[in-house]
Amino acid sequence: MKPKIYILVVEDEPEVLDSIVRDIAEFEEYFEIEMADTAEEAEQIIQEILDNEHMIGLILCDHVLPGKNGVDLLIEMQKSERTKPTKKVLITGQAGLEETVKAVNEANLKHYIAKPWEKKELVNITRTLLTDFVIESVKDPLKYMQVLDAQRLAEEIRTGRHITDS
Amino acid sequence: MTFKLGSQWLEDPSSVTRLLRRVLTESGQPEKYITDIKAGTTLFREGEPLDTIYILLEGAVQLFKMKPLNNTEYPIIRLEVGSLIGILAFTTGFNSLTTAKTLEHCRFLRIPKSDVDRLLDEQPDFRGYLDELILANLLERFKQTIILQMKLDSANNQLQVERNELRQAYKNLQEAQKMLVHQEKMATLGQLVAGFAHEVNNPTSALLRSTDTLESHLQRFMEQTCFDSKSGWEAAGKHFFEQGKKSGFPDTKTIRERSVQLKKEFPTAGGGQIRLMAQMQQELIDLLRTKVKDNPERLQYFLDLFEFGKMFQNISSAGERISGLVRSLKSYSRSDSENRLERIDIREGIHDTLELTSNRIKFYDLNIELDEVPIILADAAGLNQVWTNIILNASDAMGKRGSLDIRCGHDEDEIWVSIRDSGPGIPEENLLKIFEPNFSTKKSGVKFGLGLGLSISKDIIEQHDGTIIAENNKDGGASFIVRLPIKPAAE
Repeated sequence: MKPKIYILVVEDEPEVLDSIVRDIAEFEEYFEIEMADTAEEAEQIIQEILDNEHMIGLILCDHVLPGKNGVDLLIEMQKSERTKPTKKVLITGQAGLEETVKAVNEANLKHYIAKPWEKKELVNITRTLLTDFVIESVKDPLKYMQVLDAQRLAEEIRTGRHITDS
Repeated sequence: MTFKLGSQWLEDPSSVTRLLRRVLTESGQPEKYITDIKAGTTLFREGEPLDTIYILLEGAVQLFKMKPLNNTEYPIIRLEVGSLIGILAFTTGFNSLTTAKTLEHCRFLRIPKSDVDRLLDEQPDFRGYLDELILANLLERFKQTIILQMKLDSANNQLQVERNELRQAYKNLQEAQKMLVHQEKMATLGQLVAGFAHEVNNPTSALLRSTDTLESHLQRFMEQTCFDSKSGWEAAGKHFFEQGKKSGFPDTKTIRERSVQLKKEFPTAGGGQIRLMAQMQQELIDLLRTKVKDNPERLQYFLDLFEFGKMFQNISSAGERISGLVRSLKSYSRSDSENRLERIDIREGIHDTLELTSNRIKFYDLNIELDEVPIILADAAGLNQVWTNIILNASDAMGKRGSLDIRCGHDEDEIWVSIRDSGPGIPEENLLKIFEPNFSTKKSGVKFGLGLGLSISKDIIEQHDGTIIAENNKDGGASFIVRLPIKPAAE
């Protein structure tokens, strides 16, 4: 079985979770979308995905969650070798500066999305980060050109940093 | 032994001097000793040796003592007729302890010490009378000392009373100032909330109204273009729409499990389609299966209708939530009421508070048991502050997980509210201190930005003639118990 790349969405409010997933549905042709409503459930899913030799390309994670919060989850993922390559996005409704700074510093957070978000913004960030992930971690980025940033992928392939094995 | 004149002296201090004068007259030299001194003259000064005694025959003399701190003279005793002035120096031989000044024109028997010794030898009666005089003077001084001591005592008491009154007044002033600041804050908050509520309610109503209109238009549109009463599947479409409007959200685990199942059943369906189906009732899945069996391309059509319904449901429930929050915020801060005291059911305030603090408490195991309580005359916004303070303190103490029990009830003359958490409890020595101003275990200021802590809560409860106490539960955590008297509410 070919390894699949997953997008994991963690959000405890079902309406919001539903909306996020719907907004990024256009990536679903190439990426698997998984949902979790707590950090603990997300950890289980991550474990299963990795145990099945698949990859997690991107996690979109709500900030305030029951139990462990999103920032802590992202920091732990950053610390673990297996989930370090995963691109991480914090979605926050109450941008407490302190927590966000912590996430930026400790979880290598490049993006955060403030609620309410716009679909275009969410899709753009998702595309950029998945492109990054594919360039860094996938041997044959060519097949993602349709859905990701084709120009950057083409540039990658042209400069020969990737040697396709197909 | 009894002195002949001891008691008589107390009645009439001048009697001894009269006798002494008679003795001196008998010795034939009275004029030699009788001296007139005008008012304001200093007889002797503190610290000087004294070689003369003065026996006051007419007028009055004031004794002064020097105050060492600021070098001023301080009047200590007024001596009347019959007094022996310089008695201590005379009897002990020490330097004078006081300064003596005449207050008015005075007449003395002024006898040098050497003459006294001679007179004592020559006149046997003189010794007796002088002893009487000395004793009588000492008696008088002693009496004065007792009177002074009593005056001092009562002055001290008076001072203590006044100091306590002052301290209380200062405390009251502090409390009043604190309350004023607090009320000012609440008033500002009320105005802000009123404006905010207005501003938020407008777009929210626009949102909800437009959605209603959109929905009815969409229904009409669907009926005109898609529904066909002859063939069944279009009518079923409306059913999918309606079910979508009623559908809830299963948790992610359930969705995942059902997705696995549905994927087997609908192998050609995409991830998004499966996810939607995972949110459908089994009855709807069964219907879907029969509807698309011969027309697999119809799947998206039904799913779209289902999702239409779902979107409408999402929008209206989100809108309801916004209006609910605004309503709670308004009633919480009582921005629409002028009078602070109203006839209220305190449970409404507790509900508002729970609604507004929901982001802090939604993950707790909440047990709310609010029994019916009588309507009382109370400051609704003030009480809401109290509930908020206690609940947010509990939340701070518990962190992410815990349980919060909120109960209320009443007996004949009191309503009680008990808020109990499962946090670490309060150290015994702090159970009373937590109600003092500026007491805090938090690292930085007030997190919620509204409350001024438990001291203001105590003030508010006391303004209702109620009580608030904190105690530790036997099985862990702390409880706050508020009692409010049920007073016959004035109309």
